[in-house]
Amino acid sequence: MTDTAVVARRPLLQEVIATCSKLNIPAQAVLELTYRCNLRCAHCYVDLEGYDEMTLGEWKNVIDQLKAAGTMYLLFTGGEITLRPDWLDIAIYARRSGFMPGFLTNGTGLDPAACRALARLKPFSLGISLYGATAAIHESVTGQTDSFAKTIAGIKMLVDAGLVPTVQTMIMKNNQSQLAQIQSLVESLGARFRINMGMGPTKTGRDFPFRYEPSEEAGGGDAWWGESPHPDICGEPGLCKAGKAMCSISPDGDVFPCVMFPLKLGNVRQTDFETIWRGEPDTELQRLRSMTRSNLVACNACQLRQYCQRCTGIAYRESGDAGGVSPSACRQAKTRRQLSGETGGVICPKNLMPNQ
Amino acid sequence: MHHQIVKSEDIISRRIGDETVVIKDNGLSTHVLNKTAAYIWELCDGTYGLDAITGRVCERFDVGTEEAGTDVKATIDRLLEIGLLTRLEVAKT
Repeated sequence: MTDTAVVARRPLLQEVIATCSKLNIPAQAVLELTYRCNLRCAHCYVDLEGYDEMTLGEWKNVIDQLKAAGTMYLLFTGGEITLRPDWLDIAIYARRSGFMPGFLTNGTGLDPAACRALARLKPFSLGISLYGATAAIHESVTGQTDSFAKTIAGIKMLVDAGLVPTVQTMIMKNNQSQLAQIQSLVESLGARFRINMGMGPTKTGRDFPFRYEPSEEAGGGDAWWGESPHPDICGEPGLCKAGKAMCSISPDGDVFPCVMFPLKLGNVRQTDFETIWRGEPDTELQRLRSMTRSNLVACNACQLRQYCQRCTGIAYRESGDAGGVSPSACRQAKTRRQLSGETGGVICPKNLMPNQ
Repeated sequence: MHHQIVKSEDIISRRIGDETVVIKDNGLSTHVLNKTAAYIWELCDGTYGLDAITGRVCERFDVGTEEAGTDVKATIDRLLEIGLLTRLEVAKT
């Protein structure tokens, strides 16, 4: 019995998530605590306001239901999560309930006490958004004076609390010539640096964020080099775990396959999560769950595959078909190839990765 | 003083299909337990001793006491070794 009773494998968590994908167990859930934000980032995909946000009690109930559904990892995001006075209460409840919590924040609302509380939660991931190495560049994106100083202060407070936040920079026209400086700044603060090029349309389908995509002409600098390729944890390159091993829940309780996938599956204020997730699935959800690489007809023969970080949700938004072509992914793949000097370098994964 | 064997802190476990996944150290250490090991692990809450766990395993999996006792000990030793269980010293009452 004991020879195989306890199996330890290093990359097992990814293997487990791949198994969850096959069994439609939502191993990862993205909880959008609020759509409110104190910044006005030019490219932000959250263009929704005025939501009747779920209360602390309602979120606790959702967390209990997610545990029963098999969820292990909860990513708290927004909007800006720290605008909710009870954001830490929700996170503490999640940790005590047996989840690995992750957080995305702009860092401006952090204080030393909150950072110490976060450290006690031992976050699985902790992402901070930063758009420039100088106030001028960063604030040209955020639209808010003093936001650079506040975000840098937030990073320092997290590091002082013993955490190593991952500072995530969305590559944009505004900052693409400054990536090396941003990396130096971030590393000098004791944080990790990660770059991301996954610009997408807004939640209501508007495409103005693409105006800020980096240009091939401006070049990228050294920071484009040396990133590892995205490890695909679904075992199907080009696909993702949305609707299978991942779900997202909006501030007012709507359930989606992921934050970028505009297919409402139900609302946890009206229907329990298990029924929404396991009940008679919507036709589109059935298709999403049964998709294989062979469904990506146009993508399979594409020369840009190694540069492509196709988002299934954005493809659905852009083409009306989860297996369809995503023009923005094609465009971004071309830029990646150009900026990497055709060396095969691939930048940051769009998926949720642990702090390591 | 005597000791109790209990689950370690900061461990996350979920039933995934036929197996129990146990995650430690925020995913840096992940283990998969089969049904028997998961059952033994669940019983390690400080209220059951080795003999009681062996008895429960005999009932649940229809095995003899000797075989179950050997397996329970080996499984608990392994779970202690990889940090999914902890030996707690407690005062005798």
